[in-house]
Amino acid sequence: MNLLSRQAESLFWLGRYIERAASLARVLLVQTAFDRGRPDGATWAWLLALYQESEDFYRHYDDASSRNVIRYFVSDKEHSGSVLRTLEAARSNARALRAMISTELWMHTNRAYRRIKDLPESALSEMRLASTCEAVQIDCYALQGISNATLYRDAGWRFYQLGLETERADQMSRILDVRFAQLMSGSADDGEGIGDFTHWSMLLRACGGHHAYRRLVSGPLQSQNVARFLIFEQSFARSIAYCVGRLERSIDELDAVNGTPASERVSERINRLKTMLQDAQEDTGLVKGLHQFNDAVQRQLIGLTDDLSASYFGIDAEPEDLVVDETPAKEEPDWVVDEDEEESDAEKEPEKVAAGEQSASAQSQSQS
Amino acid sequence: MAELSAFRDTSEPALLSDYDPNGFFCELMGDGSEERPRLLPFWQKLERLPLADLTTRAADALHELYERGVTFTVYSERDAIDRTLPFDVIPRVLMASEWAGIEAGVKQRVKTLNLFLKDIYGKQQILKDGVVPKELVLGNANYRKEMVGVELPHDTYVQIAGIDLVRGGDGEFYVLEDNARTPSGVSYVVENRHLMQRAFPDLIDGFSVRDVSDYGQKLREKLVEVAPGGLDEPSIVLLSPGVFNSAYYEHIFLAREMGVPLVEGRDLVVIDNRLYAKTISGLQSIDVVYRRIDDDFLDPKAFNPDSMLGVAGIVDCLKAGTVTIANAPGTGVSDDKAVYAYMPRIIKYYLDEDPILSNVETYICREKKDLAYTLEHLSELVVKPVGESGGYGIVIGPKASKEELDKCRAELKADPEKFIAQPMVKLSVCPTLADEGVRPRHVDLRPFAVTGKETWVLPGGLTRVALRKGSIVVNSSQGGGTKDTWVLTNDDVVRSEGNQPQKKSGVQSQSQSQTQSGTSAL
Repeated sequence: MNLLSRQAESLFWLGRYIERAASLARVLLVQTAFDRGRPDGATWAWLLALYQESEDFYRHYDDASSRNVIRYFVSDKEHSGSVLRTLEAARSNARALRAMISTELWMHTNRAYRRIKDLPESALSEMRLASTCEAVQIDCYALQGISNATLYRDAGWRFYQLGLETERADQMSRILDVRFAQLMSGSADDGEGIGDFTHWSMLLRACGGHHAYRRLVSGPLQSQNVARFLIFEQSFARSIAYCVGRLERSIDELDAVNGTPASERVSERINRLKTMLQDAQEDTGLVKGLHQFNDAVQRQLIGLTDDLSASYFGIDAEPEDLVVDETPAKEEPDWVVDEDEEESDAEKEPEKVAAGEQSASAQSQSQS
Repeated sequence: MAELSAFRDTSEPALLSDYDPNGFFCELMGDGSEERPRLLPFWQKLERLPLADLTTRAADALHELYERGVTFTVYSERDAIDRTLPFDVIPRVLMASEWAGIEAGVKQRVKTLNLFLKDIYGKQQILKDGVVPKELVLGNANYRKEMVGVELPHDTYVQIAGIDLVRGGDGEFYVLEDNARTPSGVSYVVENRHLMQRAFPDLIDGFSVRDVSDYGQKLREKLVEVAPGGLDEPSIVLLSPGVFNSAYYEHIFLAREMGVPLVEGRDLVVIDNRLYAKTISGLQSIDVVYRRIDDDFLDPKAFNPDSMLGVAGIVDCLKAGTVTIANAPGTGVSDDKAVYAYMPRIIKYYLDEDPILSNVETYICREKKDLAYTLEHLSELVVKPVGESGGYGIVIGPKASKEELDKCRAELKADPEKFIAQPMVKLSVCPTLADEGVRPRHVDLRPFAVTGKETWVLPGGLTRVALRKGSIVVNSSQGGGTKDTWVLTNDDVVRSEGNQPQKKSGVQSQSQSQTQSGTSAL
């Protein structure tokens, strides 16, 4: 039988949440490990901008002290974007997928979650934070390695990959956007010599690209080069262009594995992303328009999630509307919506799976 | 009582030197009526394990179960807490000759259950002949009139059965309960074995134990046999209530072992009396459903309209013959405690055979004479509500307080038809690792039988053990644990003289000498 829609959706989100936790841990690690002993001091507030969570944060905390921001992003149970809640969501999806994924993947998802859930208070101290974040990051990389080594190369694998690459591209775009805005603010510069070496190297590190960049480009770090590297570099596995290439490949493979023609709206979406990237590559003034570019990238990625959802995950219609047989689920040729008016469901990013029924049958089915 | 000390070097303290079954039949030692302890070679091997070593390895084994996710889940307000079912590392061993009797008895029982169901949802001859009271069946909450006149492939209603057995003081096995709805626990049978093989290779080496790991394949074969219209390659799914169900691990295990998708109600839909799964490439038809959802929640259209777990219209598909549901709806009437009391007569009625496995003596409180006896001997009896499962609502006379007995008496007088009573069975014990050392603990046995055209019984089954001293309640919902259950392929091994032959033995068979050399190599 083909992959269930629900399983496809869970695999997509499993991929996303693991990647998201890894990215968050890396950003925190870089912040705590490298932004020290500098005259302008370590500011943690930018993390709130990065994930657009200032409003929620200030509802629960008085000030953006390092202590508060760290707690908010690592162990806050009320914050759906904390490492804890992200790994919890990954685990919920893994739990729903247990019959499909390897025992090892489930075991390690459990371990990673428990490590953060049972975290002692002291692990959040500034002395210990770096090693805590490092452990989370390694846990996530291990999960990705185990996934790679053990998941079947069926349609499910492609959905997992689609989730991972969508999230990776999204994280890159966000970090680039917020960090650039931060570095450029207060500078009348045209984007060619802003900031200093440390700032650019921090940005690269937060994106996991410092050493890769160094291998490719020697000499002083320049904003233009850094931005282009993070967006276009094909040998760098986190560049937006690389991720989009992988997305396209996963979609093509999915069609081949699944034996049904591509969802038109998903293919169109990928093509749009590719076109955007090509245009941006030719744009010499890219750095100036970087925010608009990143904004558009993030919109497209949200749109992609919606498209996948409508094409593969969402057979929720009433029975009489459903088409039986091998006909592909739904096709909506009128997908082209004015970008600025495009509303999205995906932004809410529900913790799939978690909202099930806890019914009386749970009791009656106990080991009688 | 045969003393172990006669068979060992007593100069050193040994693991079992202070083990005393206390007058109960011991699963490993017997009842002392034989010249030498039952299963002597196994004992001698077990004795050589230092207690500290056994304890450490037991703890490691439990940790491994936890890590591997062989767990059930307890839900608090916001956390899902995974727990392992307590596992005792000292296996329970059944001889080949004992197993042969159990297997034949279980098959007879399952055959009867299916004939009974076919009859009560068909001609109702057994009711007309007055063998079982009509109202007991037709008035039973688990009788599903939706099933009347429905034809099932091979007339099989109970594809998966778990028959709960206990061994009494006389060393005989008795049926305590039939489970013909959605019996659980088979995953532990297989996982326990794998765990023992990993954690205690030295204990199992030298014994030839029947394999249990092919349960999933056997189950699948049987489900193929009962596919609608004799389809060769039916599309099979396992229908689970989902991640919140306490037996979710077992659902995962079975889906994996069978190689079928694990689905939830929301993954399925019925259109024109045909069942479909929602997949990434549209709807795909389903032929066989192994459901782990109770009747009440299976189909909101047919049964409980509030159920969010089932599939609306799935019972219509069954009636239309497009889908097989295993087990069929309405099997709960056959394993009801009230019907259980009549099982020996039902077996005789359909098969004209005596029961191979006897019932525990049962008083049917709806009958005046039995009620009077029950009320008079309440403090000696176990009173069980009918229509319940999981050991809920049971009153154990000899252990109950005066208040509990008074309450029970009042309930019996008010609604006698809701209860049955049984004498206390002197449940057998098995050596079990306790805090203070190896101690006797009471056990039962749940063999699993799967049925398509014919019935196959998994050799062994789930041994449940009451871990609390003196307790006879083995239900996992009430502090019970499990043990690995070995069925020996051949009894020669354990009938041999072990490593310290005291008298000259007779002719040794090839397998004896092989096993002995294997044993002494340790």
